[in-house]
Amino acid sequence: MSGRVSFARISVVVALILLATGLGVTLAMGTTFLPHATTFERLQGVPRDAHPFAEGTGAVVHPTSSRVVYARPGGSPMAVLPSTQLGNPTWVPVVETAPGWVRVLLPSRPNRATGWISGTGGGLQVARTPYLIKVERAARRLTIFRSGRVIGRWTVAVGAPTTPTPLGRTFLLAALSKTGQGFGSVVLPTGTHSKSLDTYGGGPGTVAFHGWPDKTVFGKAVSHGCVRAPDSALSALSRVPLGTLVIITR
Amino acid sequence: MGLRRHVIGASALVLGASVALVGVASTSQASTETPGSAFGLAADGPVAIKPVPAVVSPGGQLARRSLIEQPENAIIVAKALSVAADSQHSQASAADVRTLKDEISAGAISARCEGGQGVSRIANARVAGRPIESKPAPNTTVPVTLEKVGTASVTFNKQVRGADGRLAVTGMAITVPTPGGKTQTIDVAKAMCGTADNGDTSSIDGGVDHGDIGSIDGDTRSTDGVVDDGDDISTAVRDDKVTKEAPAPVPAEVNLPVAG
Repeated sequence: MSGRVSFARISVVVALILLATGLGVTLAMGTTFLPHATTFERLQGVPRDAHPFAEGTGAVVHPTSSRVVYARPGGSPMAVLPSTQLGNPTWVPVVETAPGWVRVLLPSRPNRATGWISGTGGGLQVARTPYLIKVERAARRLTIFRSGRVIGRWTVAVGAPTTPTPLGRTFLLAALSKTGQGFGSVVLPTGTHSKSLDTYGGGPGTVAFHGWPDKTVFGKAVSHGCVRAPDSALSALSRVPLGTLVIITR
Repeated sequence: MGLRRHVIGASALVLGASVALVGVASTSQASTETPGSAFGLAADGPVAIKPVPAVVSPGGQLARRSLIEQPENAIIVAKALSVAADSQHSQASAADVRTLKDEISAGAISARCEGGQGVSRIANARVAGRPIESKPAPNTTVPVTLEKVGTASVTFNKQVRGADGRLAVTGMAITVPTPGGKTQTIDVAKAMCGTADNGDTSSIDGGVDHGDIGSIDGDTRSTDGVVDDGDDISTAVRDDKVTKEAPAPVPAEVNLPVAG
């Protein structure tokens, strides 16, 4: 008995000394960690959005704590969806359901990444967004719909031919008020990324809605992939719930 | 009795070394009136454990507390719980941690918060038999499938910065779904420090997402009126019975260089 106590005593003391000195043995061989589904990550093995121009369910979900993302219902875990993104609560659109599961768009590369999260067990808030955002590249047009009705339409700048705004559906990821790029008072990143720029300005090439100091750009294909929009459009966009679908067409 | 003396002695060694280190580091930090705080263990959900031992630095003075073993409970065993905090630093540690039927174990876990920066160290940790790195990156999350329960998530070195700039570092944070729809959480070795002056919510450095930036204990932004009752959400979505409207966003002061 006393021998066992002594061993336990020694283990505790050794472990604490290791912590105190900052020493530790790396024991990670063979361990796999799940990446966080954020705009900074490129996820491996994710299923792509099968209907990239569909208008979705209108449902958006918010994980109140980190939630494991699966490649298919009951399949292998592939990522973790954190409860916040860029200082905003995470809201992602539901694009498909299965009993006990919801399939959501993810904000990571590759574009059109999706994943399944459990729809049971609590810890997941669900709400409805009546909004839909459409960007028509050729027409250089941004339209906001609410309950199917147009509430605003603006001429915008889209990606230049060498740095096009990526096609398909994504979603409003966050609202940022302090970006340091001189892009206006609010920047609205989406869940998609430039396909031609792996990084831009130190960021991961996230495509966003933002302003532009020179109004003559509106109506032109000149950006690095983002949608440059007038102030009135940004004001309207900043009232649209996060997770709302953004559909970008030719 | 002898064992207790040794554990307390070892804990004091840890804290003494750490406080000496942070004392050196603090010379370059701006002064602050916000006290550091820390606790060794806490749980919330079907099994609730109030933070023990818990400490808040009174008036910026160094404060320490230790506990040989946590109160008896149904979900976790942890020993040699020690915490310390002063005006800008805090630290928490625990040893011989075992939980969820020993699916998760660690020889030692520590979290340290210094001037708004955090670090965690893990020794001899295993999750479902897999070894865990001793210096995990912030917010390293590992899923654990529990029979008849579901998938729990274990986050090592969880780092969450609040809207006020304070940083919370948790050595190990566990989230477990429960059949009743509630979530069981377990936090081991949590340390909080920093103020808006030495915290930085305005940028995300190096493309690293620090996870739950913007909240310390859950979201600080209101999401009132949305459904979260533990029912199957897929059914409500499929049947188009989600009626509550999603909230408008509140812009966050975060710098993300976008594509332009």
